[in-house]
Amino acid sequence: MKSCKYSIIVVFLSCLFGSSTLISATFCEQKFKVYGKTAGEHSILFWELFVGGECQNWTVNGLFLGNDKDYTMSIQDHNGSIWLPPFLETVPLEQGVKLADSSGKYFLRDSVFTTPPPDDISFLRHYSALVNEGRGDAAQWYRECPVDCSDYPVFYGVNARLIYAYRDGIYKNYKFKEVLYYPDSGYIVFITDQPRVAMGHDTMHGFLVFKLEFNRGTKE
Amino acid sequence: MKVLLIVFFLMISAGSVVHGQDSALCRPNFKLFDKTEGRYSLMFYRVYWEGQGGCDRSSFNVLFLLPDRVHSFQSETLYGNWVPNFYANLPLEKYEILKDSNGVFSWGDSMKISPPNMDSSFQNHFESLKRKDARSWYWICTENCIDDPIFSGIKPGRIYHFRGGLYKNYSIKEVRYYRESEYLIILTHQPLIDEKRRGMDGVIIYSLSGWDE
Repeated sequence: MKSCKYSIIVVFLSCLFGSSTLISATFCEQKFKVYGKTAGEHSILFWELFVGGECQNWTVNGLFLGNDKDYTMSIQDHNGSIWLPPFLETVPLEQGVKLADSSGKYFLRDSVFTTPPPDDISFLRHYSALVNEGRGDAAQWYRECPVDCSDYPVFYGVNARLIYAYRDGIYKNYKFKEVLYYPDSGYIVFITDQPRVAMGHDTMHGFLVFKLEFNRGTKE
Repeated sequence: MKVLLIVFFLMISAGSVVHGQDSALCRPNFKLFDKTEGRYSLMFYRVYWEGQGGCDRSSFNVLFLLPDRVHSFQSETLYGNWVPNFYANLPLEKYEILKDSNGVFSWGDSMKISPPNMDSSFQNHFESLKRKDARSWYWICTENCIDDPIFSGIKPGRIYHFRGGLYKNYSIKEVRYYRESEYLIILTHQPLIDEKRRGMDGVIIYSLSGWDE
Protein backbone atom coordinates (compact mmCIF):
# COMPACT_ATOMS: atom_id res chain seq x y z
CA MET A 1 0.00 0.00 0.00
CA LYS A 2 2.86 2.30 0.99
CA SER A 3 4.73 1.59 -2.25
CA CYS A 4 1.54 2.32 -4.18
CA LYS A 5 1.31 5.74 -2.48
CA TYR A 6 4.93 6.53 -3.41
CA SER A 7 4.42 5.44 -6.97
CA ILE A 8 1.41 7.78 -7.24
CA ILE A 9 3.53 10.65 -5.94
CA VAL A 10 6.34 9.76 -8.36
CA VAL A 11 3.90 9.61 -11.28
CA PHE A 12 2.37 12.96 -10.23
CA LEU A 13 5.75 14.67 -9.94
CA SER A 14 7.01 13.28 -13.23
CA CYS A 15 3.82 14.48 -14.92
CA LEU A 16 4.30 17.91 -13.37
CA PHE A 17 7.95 18.34 -14.35
CA GLY A 18 7.68 16.39 -17.57
CA SER A 19 5.01 18.77 -18.79
CA SER A 20 6.98 21.89 -17.82
CA THR A 21 7.87 22.55 -21.45
CA LEU A 22 4.19 22.52 -22.29
CA ILE A 23 3.39 24.82 -19.39
CA SER A 24 5.97 27.39 -20.57
CA ALA A 25 4.96 27.19 -24.24
CA THR A 26 3.14 30.31 -25.36
CA PHE A 27 2.70 29.56 -29.08
CA CYS A 28 2.82 33.24 -30.00
CA GLU A 29 2.55 33.16 -33.76
CA GLN A 30 2.83 36.30 -35.89
CA LYS A 31 0.33 36.83 -38.67
CA PHE A 32 0.79 39.79 -40.98
CA LYS A 33 -1.71 41.40 -43.28
CA VAL A 34 -1.29 44.47 -45.46
CA TYR A 35 -4.28 46.78 -45.12
CA GLY A 36 -3.37 49.20 -47.86
CA LYS A 37 -1.03 51.91 -48.98
CA THR A 38 -2.01 55.47 -49.74
CA ALA A 39 -1.19 56.69 -53.23
CA GLY A 40 2.18 58.15 -54.12
CA GLU A 41 5.80 57.84 -53.16
CA HIS A 42 5.28 59.82 -49.95
CA SER A 43 2.64 57.57 -48.50
CA ILE A 44 1.60 55.46 -45.54
CA LEU A 45 1.66 51.68 -45.68
CA PHE A 46 -0.80 50.25 -43.16
CA TRP A 47 -0.36 46.70 -41.98
CA GLU A 48 -1.77 44.52 -39.30
CA LEU A 49 0.15 42.33 -36.92
CA PHE A 50 -1.69 39.75 -34.90
CA VAL A 51 0.38 37.71 -32.48
CA GLY A 52 -1.72 34.74 -31.48
CA GLY A 53 -1.27 32.02 -28.87
CA GLU A 54 -0.99 33.35 -25.36
CA CYS A 55 0.22 36.74 -26.61
CA GLN A 56 -3.07 37.76 -28.26
CA ASN A 57 -1.62 41.10 -29.29
CA TRP A 58 -3.27 42.87 -32.20
CA THR A 59 -1.93 46.10 -33.66
CA VAL A 60 -2.36 48.26 -36.69
CA ASN A 61 0.93 49.71 -37.89
CA GLY A 62 1.62 52.57 -40.23
CA LEU A 63 4.90 53.06 -42.02
CA PHE A 64 5.42 56.57 -43.36
CA LEU A 65 7.31 56.04 -46.61
CA GLY A 66 9.16 58.45 -48.83
CA ASN A 67 12.35 59.28 -47.02
CA ASP A 68 15.67 59.18 -48.86
CA LYS A 69 17.15 56.63 -46.49
CA ASP A 70 14.43 54.58 -44.87
CA TYR A 71 10.99 55.17 -43.44
CA THR A 72 10.38 58.51 -41.82
CA MET A 73 8.03 57.49 -39.04
CA SER A 74 6.20 54.46 -37.78
CA ILE A 75 3.04 54.24 -35.70
CA GLN A 76 1.45 51.41 -33.80
CA ASP A 77 -2.07 51.36 -32.39
CA HIS A 78 -4.15 48.74 -30.63
CA ASN A 79 -7.37 50.52 -31.63
CA GLY A 80 -6.54 50.77 -35.30
CA SER A 81 -9.57 48.75 -36.36
CA ILE A 82 -11.76 51.66 -35.26
CA TRP A 83 -10.26 54.39 -37.39
CA LEU A 84 -8.34 52.71 -40.16
CA PRO A 85 -10.99 50.98 -42.35
CA PRO A 86 -13.22 54.08 -42.63
CA PHE A 87 -10.18 56.28 -43.19
CA LEU A 88 -8.94 54.07 -46.02
CA GLU A 89 -12.30 54.47 -47.73
CA THR A 90 -11.78 58.23 -47.98
CA VAL A 91 -8.29 58.35 -49.51
CA PRO A 92 -6.94 57.15 -52.85
CA LEU A 93 -4.95 53.95 -52.45
CA GLU A 94 -2.24 52.46 -54.58
CA GLN A 95 -3.23 49.03 -55.80
CA GLY A 96 -0.73 46.36 -54.82
CA VAL A 97 0.03 43.35 -57.01
CA LYS A 98 0.62 39.93 -55.43
CA LEU A 99 3.58 38.30 -57.14
CA ALA A 100 3.47 34.61 -57.89
CA ASP A 101 6.14 32.14 -56.90
CA SER A 102 7.75 30.39 -59.85
CA SER A 103 9.87 27.58 -58.38
CA GLY A 104 11.33 29.85 -55.73
CA LYS A 105 11.83 32.75 -58.14
CA TYR A 106 9.80 35.88 -58.60
CA PHE A 107 9.84 37.76 -61.88
CA LEU A 108 9.18 41.46 -62.22
CA ARG A 109 9.83 43.34 -65.45
CA ASP A 110 13.32 42.20 -66.52
CA SER A 111 14.41 41.49 -62.97
CA VAL A 112 14.24 38.44 -60.78
CA PHE A 113 14.55 37.92 -57.06
CA THR A 114 14.76 34.93 -54.77
CA THR A 115 15.09 34.04 -51.14
CA PRO A 116 18.71 34.17 -50.00
CA PRO A 117 20.68 30.93 -50.23
CA PRO A 118 20.42 28.87 -47.03
CA ASP A 119 23.06 29.41 -44.40
CA ASP A 120 22.49 26.19 -42.54
CA ILE A 121 25.80 25.49 -40.91
CA SER A 122 26.79 28.81 -39.38
CA PHE A 123 23.23 29.86 -38.60
CA LEU A 124 22.34 26.58 -36.93
CA ARG A 125 25.56 26.59 -34.95
CA HIS A 126 24.95 30.08 -33.67
CA TYR A 127 21.26 29.57 -33.17
CA SER A 128 21.66 26.29 -31.26
CA ALA A 129 24.10 28.00 -28.94
CA LEU A 130 21.54 30.73 -28.30
CA VAL A 131 18.75 28.32 -27.54
CA ASN A 132 20.94 26.60 -24.99
CA GLU A 133 21.62 29.91 -23.27
CA GLY A 134 18.31 31.70 -23.42
CA ARG A 135 15.00 32.10 -25.20
CA GLY A 136 16.43 31.78 -28.68
CA ASP A 137 14.22 34.55 -29.93
CA ALA A 138 14.87 37.39 -32.36
CA ALA A 139 15.78 39.87 -29.61
CA GLN A 140 18.50 37.54 -28.35
CA TRP A 141 19.60 36.79 -31.91
CA TYR A 142 20.18 40.45 -32.77
CA ARG A 143 21.75 41.14 -29.38
CA GLU A 144 24.31 38.37 -29.63
CA CYS A 145 24.77 37.68 -33.32
CA PRO A 146 28.27 38.94 -34.26
CA VAL A 147 27.96 39.60 -38.01
CA ASP A 148 25.69 38.86 -40.98
CA CYS A 149 22.65 38.57 -38.76
CA SER A 150 20.15 38.85 -41.59
CA ASP A 151 20.02 37.58 -45.16
CA TYR A 152 17.66 39.64 -47.24
CA PRO A 153 16.09 38.69 -50.58
CA VAL A 154 18.50 38.56 -53.50
CA PHE A 155 17.63 40.87 -56.38
CA TYR A 156 18.97 40.61 -59.93
CA GLY A 157 18.50 43.43 -62.43
CA VAL A 158 17.11 45.94 -59.97
CA ASN A 159 18.48 48.07 -57.14
CA ALA A 160 16.66 47.36 -53.90
CA ARG A 161 16.95 49.46 -50.79
CA LEU A 162 15.80 48.08 -47.45
CA ILE A 163 13.24 50.41 -45.90
CA TYR A 164 11.94 48.42 -42.97
CA ALA A 165 12.51 45.08 -41.27
CA TYR A 166 10.18 43.89 -38.51
CA ARG A 167 12.48 43.34 -35.53
CA ASP A 168 10.91 40.20 -34.09
CA GLY A 169 11.59 38.25 -37.27
CA ILE A 170 14.75 36.30 -38.03
CA TYR A 171 15.84 36.62 -41.63
CA LYS A 172 17.94 33.50 -42.07
CA ASN A 173 16.85 30.35 -43.89
CA TYR A 174 13.34 31.62 -44.45
CA LYS A 175 10.79 31.44 -47.25
CA PHE A 176 8.49 34.06 -48.71
CA LYS A 177 4.90 33.65 -47.62
CA GLU A 178 3.58 36.59 -49.61
CA VAL A 179 5.13 39.18 -51.90
CA LEU A 180 3.24 42.36 -52.65
CA TYR A 181 4.49 44.91 -55.15
CA TYR A 182 3.32 48.50 -55.58
CA PRO A 183 4.14 49.34 -59.21
CA ASP A 184 3.46 53.10 -59.12
CA SER A 185 5.76 53.87 -56.22
CA GLY A 186 8.15 50.91 -56.50
CA TYR A 187 7.73 49.59 -52.95
CA ILE A 188 7.70 45.85 -52.37
CA VAL A 189 6.60 43.99 -49.24
CA PHE A 190 7.80 40.54 -48.22
CA ILE A 191 5.99 38.57 -45.55
CA THR A 192 8.45 35.88 -44.56
CA ASP A 193 8.01 32.45 -43.03
CA GLN A 194 10.67 31.34 -40.57
CA PRO A 195 10.34 27.59 -39.90
CA ARG A 196 12.44 27.74 -36.74
CA VAL A 197 10.65 28.70 -33.52
CA ALA A 198 11.92 30.31 -30.35
CA MET A 199 11.50 28.86 -26.86
CA GLY A 200 7.83 28.60 -26.06
CA HIS A 201 7.14 27.73 -29.69
CA ASP A 202 6.92 31.43 -30.54
CA THR A 203 7.35 32.06 -34.24
CA MET A 204 9.84 34.51 -35.76
CA HIS A 205 8.19 35.31 -39.07
CA GLY A 206 9.07 38.60 -40.68
CA PHE A 207 7.91 41.63 -42.60
CA LEU A 208 10.26 43.44 -44.96
CA VAL A 209 9.75 46.52 -47.10
CA PHE A 210 12.11 47.47 -49.93
CA LYS A 211 12.15 50.28 -52.42
CA LEU A 212 12.96 49.12 -55.94
CA GLU A 213 14.76 51.26 -58.46
CA PHE A 214 14.78 49.77 -61.92
CA ASN A 215 17.50 50.60 -64.38
CA ARG A 216 16.42 52.95 -67.13
CA GLY A 217 15.02 51.15 -70.11
CA THR A 218 13.77 48.20 -68.09
CA LYS A 219 10.59 46.97 -69.73
CA GLU A 220 7.30 46.70 -67.88
CA MET B 1 16.61 102.76 -1.37
CA LYS B 2 18.70 100.67 -3.79
CA VAL B 3 17.98 97.54 -1.78
CA LEU B 4 14.27 98.32 -1.83
CA LEU B 5 14.39 98.76 -5.58
CA ILE B 6 16.19 95.43 -6.01
CA VAL B 7 13.68 93.67 -3.75
CA PHE B 8 10.82 95.28 -5.69
CA PHE B 9 12.37 94.17 -9.00
CA LEU B 10 12.87 90.61 -7.72
CA MET B 11 9.27 90.46 -6.52
CA ILE B 12 8.02 91.58 -9.92
CA SER B 13 10.17 89.06 -11.78
CA ALA B 14 9.10 86.26 -9.42
CA GLY B 15 5.47 87.19 -9.99
CA SER B 16 5.94 87.25 -13.73
CA VAL B 17 6.91 83.59 -13.70
CA VAL B 18 3.25 82.87 -13.45
CA HIS B 19 1.49 86.06 -14.40
CA GLY B 20 3.58 87.58 -17.13
CA GLN B 21 2.03 87.90 -20.57
CA ASP B 22 5.18 88.23 -22.62
CA SER B 23 7.78 86.86 -20.29
CA ALA B 24 7.59 83.33 -21.69
CA LEU B 25 11.00 82.02 -22.66
CA CYS B 26 9.37 79.58 -25.05
CA ARG B 27 5.91 79.63 -26.53
CA PRO B 28 4.37 76.93 -28.72
CA ASN B 29 3.45 78.02 -32.22
CA PHE B 30 1.19 75.75 -34.18
CA LYS B 31 1.51 75.20 -37.88
CA LEU B 32 -1.71 73.48 -38.90
CA PHE B 33 -1.44 71.54 -42.12
CA ASP B 34 -4.43 70.67 -44.25
CA LYS B 35 -6.94 67.99 -43.43
CA THR B 36 -7.91 65.26 -45.85
CA GLU B 37 -11.52 65.16 -46.98
CA GLY B 38 -14.18 63.40 -44.97
CA ARG B 39 -15.43 62.77 -41.45
CA TYR B 40 -12.79 60.04 -41.12
CA SER B 41 -9.71 61.98 -42.06
CA LEU B 42 -6.09 62.73 -41.37
CA MET B 43 -4.37 65.95 -40.48
CA PHE B 44 -0.95 67.00 -39.31
CA TYR B 45 0.19 69.88 -37.20
CA ARG B 46 3.62 70.94 -36.18
CA VAL B 47 4.53 72.51 -32.86
CA TYR B 48 7.42 74.96 -32.96
CA TRP B 49 8.67 76.24 -29.65
CA GLU B 50 9.81 79.78 -30.17
CA GLY B 51 11.21 82.39 -27.84
CA GLN B 52 14.33 83.70 -26.24
CA GLY B 53 16.21 80.48 -25.72
CA GLY B 54 16.20 76.73 -25.21
CA CYS B 55 13.26 76.41 -27.58
CA ASP B 56 14.80 74.36 -30.33
CA ARG B 57 12.28 71.56 -29.96
CA SER B 58 9.66 70.95 -32.56
CA SER B 59 7.43 67.98 -33.16
CA PHE B 60 4.90 66.69 -35.61
CA ASN B 61 1.50 65.51 -34.52
CA VAL B 62 -0.42 63.13 -36.72
CA LEU B 63 -4.16 63.08 -36.06
CA PHE B 64 -6.67 60.57 -37.35
CA LEU B 65 -10.00 62.33 -36.90
CA LEU B 66 -13.17 60.39 -36.19
CA PRO B 67 -16.59 61.85 -35.43
CA ASP B 68 -16.26 61.02 -31.74
CA ARG B 69 -12.53 60.85 -31.08
CA VAL B 70 -9.03 61.46 -32.38
CA HIS B 71 -6.17 59.00 -32.51
CA SER B 72 -2.98 60.99 -32.26
CA PHE B 73 0.67 60.15 -32.75
CA GLN B 74 3.72 62.29 -32.24
CA SER B 75 6.91 62.23 -34.22
CA GLU B 76 10.19 64.03 -34.07
CA THR B 77 11.50 62.33 -37.18
CA LEU B 78 8.91 63.40 -39.71
CA TYR B 79 10.60 66.03 -41.80
CA GLY B 80 9.17 69.23 -43.20
CA ASN B 81 8.74 68.32 -46.86
CA TRP B 82 7.13 64.99 -46.19
CA VAL B 83 3.68 66.31 -45.39
CA PRO B 84 3.19 68.49 -48.51
CA ASN B 85 4.54 65.66 -50.66
CA PHE B 86 2.15 63.25 -48.98
CA TYR B 87 -0.79 65.62 -49.37
CA ALA B 88 -0.07 66.05 -53.10
CA ASN B 89 -1.76 62.70 -53.68
CA LEU B 90 -4.78 63.17 -51.45
CA PRO B 91 -8.01 65.16 -51.68
CA LEU B 92 -7.93 67.97 -49.13
CA GLU B 93 -10.82 69.74 -47.51
CA LYS B 94 -11.16 73.50 -47.66
CA TYR B 95 -11.82 75.34 -44.44
CA GLU B 96 -13.05 78.74 -43.42
CA ILE B 97 -11.50 80.97 -40.80
CA LEU B 98 -14.17 82.41 -38.57
CA LYS B 99 -14.46 86.15 -38.30
CA ASP B 100 -12.89 87.61 -35.18
CA SER B 101 -14.66 90.45 -33.44
CA ASN B 102 -12.84 91.34 -30.20
CA GLY B 103 -12.09 87.71 -29.43
CA VAL B 104 -15.58 86.47 -30.32
CA PHE B 105 -15.66 84.36 -33.47
CA SER B 106 -18.68 83.99 -35.67
CA TRP B 107 -19.83 82.36 -38.88
CA GLY B 108 -22.73 84.38 -40.21
CA ASP B 109 -25.62 84.38 -37.78
CA SER B 110 -25.55 80.65 -37.28
CA MET B 111 -22.47 80.13 -35.14
CA LYS B 112 -20.78 82.16 -32.42
CA ILE B 113 -17.81 81.10 -30.31
CA SER B 114 -16.67 83.10 -27.28
CA PRO B 115 -13.92 82.45 -24.74
CA PRO B 116 -15.03 80.66 -21.55
CA ASN B 117 -16.10 82.57 -18.47
CA MET B 118 -13.37 83.47 -16.00
CA ASP B 119 -12.72 80.83 -13.38
CA SER B 120 -11.54 82.97 -10.48
CA SER B 121 -10.34 80.02 -8.42
CA PHE B 122 -8.18 78.58 -11.19
CA GLN B 123 -5.11 80.74 -10.69
CA ASN B 124 -4.93 79.85 -7.00
CA HIS B 125 -5.25 76.18 -7.86
CA PHE B 126 -2.54 76.43 -10.45
CA GLU B 127 -0.19 78.34 -8.15
CA SER B 128 -0.69 75.77 -5.43
CA LEU B 129 0.70 73.02 -7.65
CA LYS B 130 4.05 71.66 -6.61
CA ARG B 131 5.15 71.76 -10.24
CA LYS B 132 3.41 74.55 -12.04
CA ASP B 133 2.93 73.23 -15.53
CA ALA B 134 0.23 71.77 -17.74
CA ARG B 135 1.26 68.19 -17.13
CA SER B 136 0.89 68.57 -13.35
CA TRP B 137 -2.45 70.29 -13.84
CA TYR B 138 -3.88 67.30 -15.72
CA TRP B 139 -2.27 64.94 -13.24
CA ILE B 140 -3.85 66.63 -10.21
CA CYS B 141 -7.10 67.94 -11.67
CA THR B 142 -10.10 65.61 -11.43
CA GLU B 143 -13.00 67.67 -12.77
CA ASN B 144 -13.55 70.75 -14.93
CA CYS B 145 -9.94 70.54 -16.02
CA ILE B 146 -10.71 72.07 -19.38
CA ASP B 147 -13.18 74.87 -20.04
CA ASP B 148 -14.74 74.73 -23.48
CA PRO B 149 -15.48 77.99 -25.25
CA ILE B 150 -19.06 79.23 -25.11
CA PHE B 151 -20.81 78.05 -28.24
CA SER B 152 -24.05 79.38 -29.55
CA GLY B 153 -25.89 77.94 -32.53
CA ILE B 154 -24.04 74.63 -32.50
CA LYS B 155 -23.63 71.52 -30.37
CA PRO B 156 -19.97 70.54 -30.54
CA GLY B 157 -18.20 67.72 -28.74
CA ARG B 158 -14.56 68.08 -27.77
CA ILE B 159 -12.52 65.26 -29.31
CA TYR B 160 -8.91 66.44 -28.91
CA HIS B 161 -6.70 68.88 -27.06
CA PHE B 162 -2.96 69.48 -27.24
CA ARG B 163 -1.66 68.19 -23.90
CA GLY B 164 0.81 71.03 -23.44
CA GLY B 165 -1.99 73.60 -23.42
CA LEU B 166 -3.92 74.88 -20.44
CA TYR B 167 -7.55 75.58 -21.22
CA LYS B 168 -8.73 77.80 -18.39
CA ASN B 169 -9.17 81.55 -18.61
CA TYR B 170 -7.80 81.58 -22.11
CA SER B 171 -8.51 83.66 -25.15
CA ILE B 172 -9.17 82.39 -28.66
CA LYS B 173 -6.63 83.17 -31.36
CA GLU B 174 -8.15 81.48 -34.40
CA VAL B 175 -11.03 79.20 -35.33
CA ARG B 176 -10.96 76.99 -38.41
CA TYR B 177 -14.25 75.57 -39.56
CA TYR B 178 -14.35 72.50 -41.78
CA ARG B 179 -17.83 72.84 -43.14
CA GLU B 180 -18.03 69.58 -45.10
CA SER B 181 -16.85 67.30 -42.36
CA GLU B 182 -18.10 69.48 -39.49
CA TYR B 183 -14.99 69.92 -37.41
CA LEU B 184 -13.80 73.02 -35.60
CA ILE B 185 -10.16 73.58 -34.77
CA ILE B 186 -9.52 76.28 -32.19
CA LEU B 187 -6.16 77.81 -31.36
CA THR B 188 -6.02 79.21 -27.84
CA HIS B 189 -3.79 81.65 -26.00
CA GLN B 190 -3.08 81.08 -22.33
CA PRO B 191 -1.76 84.18 -20.53
CA LEU B 192 -0.20 82.14 -17.69
CA ILE B 193 3.19 80.57 -18.21
CA ASP B 194 4.60 77.57 -16.41
CA GLU B 195 7.40 77.42 -13.89
CA LYS B 196 9.97 77.00 -16.65
CA ARG B 197 8.51 80.10 -18.29
CA ARG B 198 7.02 78.18 -21.16
CA GLY B 199 3.77 79.26 -22.72
CA MET B 200 0.73 76.98 -22.49
CA ASP B 201 -1.15 77.94 -25.63
CA GLY B 202 -3.15 75.15 -27.17
CA VAL B 203 -5.17 73.47 -29.87
CA ILE B 204 -8.65 72.03 -29.29
CA ILE B 205 -10.70 70.13 -31.84
CA TYR B 206 -14.47 69.83 -31.76
CA SER B 207 -16.79 67.66 -33.79
CA LEU B 208 -20.20 69.12 -34.50
CA SER B 209 -22.97 66.81 -33.52
CA GLY B 210 -25.83 69.13 -34.36
CA TRP B 211 -27.17 72.64 -34.69
CA ASP B 212 -29.50 74.50 -32.42
CA GLU B 213 -33.03 74.78 -33.77
